[in-house]
Amino acid sequence: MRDPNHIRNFCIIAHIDHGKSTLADRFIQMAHIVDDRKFQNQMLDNMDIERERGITIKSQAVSIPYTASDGINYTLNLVDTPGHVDFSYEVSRAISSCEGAILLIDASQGVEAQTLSNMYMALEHDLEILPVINKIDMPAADVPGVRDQISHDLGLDGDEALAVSAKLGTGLPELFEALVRRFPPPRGSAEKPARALIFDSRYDPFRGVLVHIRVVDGRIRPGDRILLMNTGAVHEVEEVGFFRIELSKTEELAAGDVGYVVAGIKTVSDVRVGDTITNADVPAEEPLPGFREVKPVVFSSIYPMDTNDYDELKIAMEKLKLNDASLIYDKDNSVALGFGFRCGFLGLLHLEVVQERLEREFDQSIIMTAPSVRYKILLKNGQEIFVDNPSEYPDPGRIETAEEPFIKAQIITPVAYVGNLISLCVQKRGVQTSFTHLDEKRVEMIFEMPLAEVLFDFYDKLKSTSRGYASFDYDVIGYRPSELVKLDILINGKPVDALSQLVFKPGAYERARKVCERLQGAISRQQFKIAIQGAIGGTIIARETVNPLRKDVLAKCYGGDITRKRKLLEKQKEGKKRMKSVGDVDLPQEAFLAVLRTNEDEQ
Amino acid sequence: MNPPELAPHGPGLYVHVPYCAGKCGYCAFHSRPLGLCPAREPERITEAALRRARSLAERFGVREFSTAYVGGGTPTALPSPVLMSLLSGMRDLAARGGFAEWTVEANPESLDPDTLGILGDAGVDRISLGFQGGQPDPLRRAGRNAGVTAGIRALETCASWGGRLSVDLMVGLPGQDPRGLEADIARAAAAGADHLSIYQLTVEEGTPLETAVREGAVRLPSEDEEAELWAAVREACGASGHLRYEVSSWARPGAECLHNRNYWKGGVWIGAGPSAVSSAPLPDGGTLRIQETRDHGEYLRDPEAFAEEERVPPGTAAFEIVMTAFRTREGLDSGAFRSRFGVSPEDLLPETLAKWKDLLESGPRGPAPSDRLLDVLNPFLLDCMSEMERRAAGIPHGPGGPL
Ligand SMILES: Nc1nc2c(ncn2[C@@H]2O[C@H](COP(=O)(O)OP(=O)(O)O)[C@@H](O)[C@H]2O)c(=O)[nH]1
Ligand code: SF4
Ligand SMILES: [Mg+2]
Repeated sequence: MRDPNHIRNFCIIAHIDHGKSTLADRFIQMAHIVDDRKFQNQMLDNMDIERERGITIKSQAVSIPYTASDGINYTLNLVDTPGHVDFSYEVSRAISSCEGAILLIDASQGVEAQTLSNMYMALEHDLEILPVINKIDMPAADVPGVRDQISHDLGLDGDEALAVSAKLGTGLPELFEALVRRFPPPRGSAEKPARALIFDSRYDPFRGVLVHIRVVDGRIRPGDRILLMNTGAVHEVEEVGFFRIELSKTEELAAGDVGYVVAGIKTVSDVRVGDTITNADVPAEEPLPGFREVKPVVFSSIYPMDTNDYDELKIAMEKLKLNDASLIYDKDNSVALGFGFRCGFLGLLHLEVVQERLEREFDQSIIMTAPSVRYKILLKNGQEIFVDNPSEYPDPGRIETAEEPFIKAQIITPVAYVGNLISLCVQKRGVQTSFTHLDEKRVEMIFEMPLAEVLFDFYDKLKSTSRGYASFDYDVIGYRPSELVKLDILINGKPVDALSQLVFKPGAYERARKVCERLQGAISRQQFKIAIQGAIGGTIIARETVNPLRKDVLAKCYGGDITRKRKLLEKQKEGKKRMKSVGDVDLPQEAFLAVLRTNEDEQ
Repeated sequence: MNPPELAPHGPGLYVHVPYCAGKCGYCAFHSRPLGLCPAREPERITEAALRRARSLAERFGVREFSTAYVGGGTPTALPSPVLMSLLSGMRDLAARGGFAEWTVEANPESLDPDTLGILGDAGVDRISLGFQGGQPDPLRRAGRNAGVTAGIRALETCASWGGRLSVDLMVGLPGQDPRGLEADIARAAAAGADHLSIYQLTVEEGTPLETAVREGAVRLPSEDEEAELWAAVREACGASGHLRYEVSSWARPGAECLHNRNYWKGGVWIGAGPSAVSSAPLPDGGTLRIQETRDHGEYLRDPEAFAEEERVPPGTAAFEIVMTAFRTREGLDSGAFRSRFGVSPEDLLPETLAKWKDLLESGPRGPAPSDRLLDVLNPFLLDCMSEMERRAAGIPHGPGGPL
């Protein structure tokens, strides 16, 4: 039997790129649970896109057996957490399944926006925090400077921080020892009624939903009937186990353990991250705290390229949802694109990740419409409605007032970029509310600004304006009055609903002009002239034209090359599958992206 | 204006002569420089081609051919005795009274009065001359082997030829000048060409031209420049009285190429010689297509064994007929289509025909393209393909072809 005193549950939190995934790799490697030859860098990031972009999207878990210097065998349960602002709910779930957090800080970058926000989140969950300075092998590493920042900016003891190189392995034995000594063992009792926190779930085509849990109290064994306390679903446990790199079956999971449960769950909606599992026959009185519905902030619709593929897309969405609890969607339909899904995302990166996963993992050819925030609209009849889909925007005559979500944006930057960053934020309708010198070199600025402005290319510009040095984090703080109009795009006189967007009125002309320009660039010539217009209500405010195709025919066809000519046409037709016919006009997938990326190269 | 109706012709006999004086930089046809071939190979290849033509004719149940075409490569590059025996062998396969049309392709560097004499004596009544253009620099940059001087001399030689003359011209050569192109057309007309093949230079995969374009060594005309070139073609052909009757073919009325027309109608033809293709309708409405090997060794050993046979299913065959018929101003023969596939094109393509009605006309036997549609045929054909696929079940077994 495992003694809970010999278990340590911990996570690594850090600003993006400070080395979480690399450190996680070293943990696994040093614990020798993975054959060195089989080892892939960044083993925990097992999704293609993650590896390609070098970011952690899904939180993952792994158990590492470790014999400490006191001779005791410990089980170290490491949960890798996502690093991007979009995924802060996943960070919070992962964090709440741990007792300790390694706060990783890049030795040359120092404390950044997410270092702070992640630390606050860990403190909220009462985690013991162990500051660790990483990348000490880098020439630009400034370990004493970062120690000062830790004491000064974070209020932790900078002198106690460990200095490591996750890449080279320097300082890691000390780190292992420190986390056994510094992090508390799990509290909770195996004798109480079972309570386990669901912090992730994954779909396994052979076994159904694989539920990732942290057992807080009691035990869970195969044969138990379990109750998911917030959703009310009951299932029978088939298997429980630990996360080695592969799944490792065991007889029971008890208080303090991190592991998985297979319970023949086939329905996605039964598994909600943050929900509590208890024993259906001996239920706990209260679920664990912290359950909340994920709140999406960005909305967009997804349609199949080929309307016939709707059912296939539906299945793909369901499976994706199993791996991505934060994805929210509902059936939607468009005059131009047929049936699809209205989706809510945690942010723009999340949206892009979903798009890429649908295309790569599920081989779906899709169109996404322009992302939108969710507006609050007060109607003249006193009714209050929320609108994130331009197609549901009420007639302007019925609208009393409109409000849009605002964020509190926290930016930490070297002093040199302050001027340019302030102009960027002001241009994005930001209002500065605080300005603090963290030390001689760095400044923390807080702005309140509309979320809608951050959706479009804000992050890229922030990075380019500050040569990559500024860091950014945000919180949604509520609704503020706005002036809103619906911008329609007409192709050959017909409005294309999927291209409509809700925009800030004073910026509408500019936006309309840009969208039309970009559409003109994205739509290829066809046999007739194509007019692209931007309109508000019935008034045209922008216009571009695509001239008709002059020539598109295969030269010279003789008796010997009929097969070849036909194959060339078949190939062209394949290419056309990436097109969506709207009326008589073929719109390429990029046309929809053109609307999305409309602000890309302003200035 | 619709061209005058022509009587159908077929079956056709095609012989491929896989040799040229040198290889042109843009060319993807099967041909080899004659100088690099083993001695006597051309003789053996043409003999093999004739034997093969006879055996294919037997297999296809064809007793006599109504049109013939010797292409390549460059048939006129063959040594005179070889050319003579090839022609005399072909003549034996003609209908009584000879072929209704017998074309031989010629290229400038191998077209002299003696060769013309051989052709005339054998009964060849039509020459297709690969002139390609009279602007030295654009032609050279595209990689054309024959020079302009030879081309102009060949045109002059042809002026004394008593038979019909077709001249090939390319559009879209690097740096090509529209006025020069007009002059080329006028020059061809002056040499007596009643037929012009005017076609877009296409960059074929694996050719030196492709490499040169990719590496930026050769710049092809822009869309606007190309449009100007085609405007010049329209202008000059209007002046010389050549009407466009197919995407890449212009002719004085009555001078349309009968042999090619049989291809575009989906008729029966036999192609002998390396890389040639034979084709005939199958009883189910599909098409039997036989592609000869390109390998000369294999061709000499056993052309039958190394040929590739393809049975094009009826639905695909129907599309191919749509694809080739709409290349001609004459358009589809709805009756023939219905009797082969059991469904009329109007029933198979109602949406496409409606969508494109502004660019369609009614031809002598069914729907036909306007001149404008010939320029934007691909998007029309893609619509046809999609609609036909959707209605593929609409093609039952036809009453059958000759096999
Ligand atoms: N030189 C050096 N590079 C490191 C070290 N740790 C991580 N990196 C690099 O920093 C980048 C970001 O690391 P990653 O683990 O993906 O960061 P994450 O975004 O926090 O998961 C990668 O290119 C790593 O190779 C280190 O100790 N030294
Ligand atoms: S002459 Fe004609 S067939 Fe011969 S290489 Fe040149 S283009 Fe090709
Ligand atoms: Mg990572």
